[in-house]
Amino acid sequence: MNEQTKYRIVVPGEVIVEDPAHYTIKGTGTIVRPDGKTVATRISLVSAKGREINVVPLVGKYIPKQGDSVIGIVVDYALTYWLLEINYVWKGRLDASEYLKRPLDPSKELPTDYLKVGDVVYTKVMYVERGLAPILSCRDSGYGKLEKGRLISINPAKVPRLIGAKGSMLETIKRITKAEVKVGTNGIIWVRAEKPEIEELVEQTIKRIEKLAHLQGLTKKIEDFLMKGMHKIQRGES
Amino acid sequence: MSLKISEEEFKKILESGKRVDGRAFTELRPINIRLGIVERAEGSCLFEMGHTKVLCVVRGPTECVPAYIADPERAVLDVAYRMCTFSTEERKSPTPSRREVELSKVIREALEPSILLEEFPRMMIKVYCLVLQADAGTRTASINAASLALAQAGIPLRDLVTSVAVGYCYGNIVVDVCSIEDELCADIPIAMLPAYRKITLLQSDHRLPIDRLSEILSTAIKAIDQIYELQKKALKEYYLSSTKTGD
Repeated sequence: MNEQTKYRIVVPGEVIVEDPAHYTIKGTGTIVRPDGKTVATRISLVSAKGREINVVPLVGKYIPKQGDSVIGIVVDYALTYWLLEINYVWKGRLDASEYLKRPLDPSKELPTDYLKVGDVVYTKVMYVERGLAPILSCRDSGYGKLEKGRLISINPAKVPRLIGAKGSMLETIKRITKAEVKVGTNGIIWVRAEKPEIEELVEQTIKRIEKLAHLQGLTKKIEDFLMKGMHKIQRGES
Repeated sequence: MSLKISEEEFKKILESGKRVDGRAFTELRPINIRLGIVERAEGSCLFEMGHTKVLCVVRGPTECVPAYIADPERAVLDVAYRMCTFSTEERKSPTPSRREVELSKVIREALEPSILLEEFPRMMIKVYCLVLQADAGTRTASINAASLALAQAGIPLRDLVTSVAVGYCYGNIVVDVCSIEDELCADIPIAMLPAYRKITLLQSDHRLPIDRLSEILSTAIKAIDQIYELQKKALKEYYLSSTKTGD
């Protein structure tokens, strides 16, 4: 068996492996046909290394799963909760107690004292009721309101590629640009850097990753692109 | 396109082993597929089969409108098949006709077995098929276009749905009928999930000899396999071509 990673694009209905029993298949977007073959249900990038097969869909809208980290924008509020646009059919519901980590007393304070319409919040999907608003939470550390910076929207299907294997792609971006980056699984990305030029560079980089998501050896290309961009910004300064 | 021909002449052409537009009996019309032409929608496809041109746009999954038709177990598939006023020889009234409502249902039922609707409970997937130019086989072109647009929109599919209309003309079986053949022969639109060998649409509004049916089906399946390859190629090319523009 050739141990080199092999990439190919599959379309819905196309066979990924003839005998699934002999392979470990990771990723989403596959079903087993009645004849026992594993087929793709979405246009996906299949990478095969030995007997390990990884399937990453290249298309599709965001469907929240429990434990996802998402970036939401406050679009509405009621007495004790906010509704956040999270790029899904239904708006996410963030209860005041989940954000403040204590109960909110509506007789003394209002939700708008803490979050206003238009504010950006980094939250975790706590619970998804089939066909209803997902419940969000900010209780864990690292979650909360995001201030300044800029938002970038990409196809949610390309988010795994942006994060890269074991977070390698994201680490590369953070290391070279020294920018703060928060990636929402829902395809919304928040970037804050020292200078707007760096934010612009990160945005361009992310758009590039989205466009070239199905290419192999992308991390190296992106690293070169970022290095060149950073050099330009530094030269412009001197 | 609007060539008028008498029945006798038509029969004479068929006897010579050719068809009115010069094709062989099992020859498809030239197929041209373009994907992603509508930016606002999740998926879109322009499918051309000879003179027939269909634009299919897919939106969704979205919230179910009206809410009372929402299904708590699966998504609702909403298909709208419409013909443009300029698509036919005589101006077509823009009011949705009985035929358009029927074809919307027929196309929906041809697509439904392929879509994993149970992944999107209480949601709705909208499919708009707009016939820009009609020259027979608009429902089959709509199905072909819709399955490609659904694939591009990232809706999980068991398989692409491929469709072709087969004609039965005075004892001859012809593939992918054009409008003259459509008027003078029995036309049999067939849709199937090629990888599963399952038929999802089989219609005919003419009399057919029952002993020729299996022959008709096997001819159609051969044509469907050809179109299926073109569909797969178009999808892959669309994703590979974005590489070139990206660099």
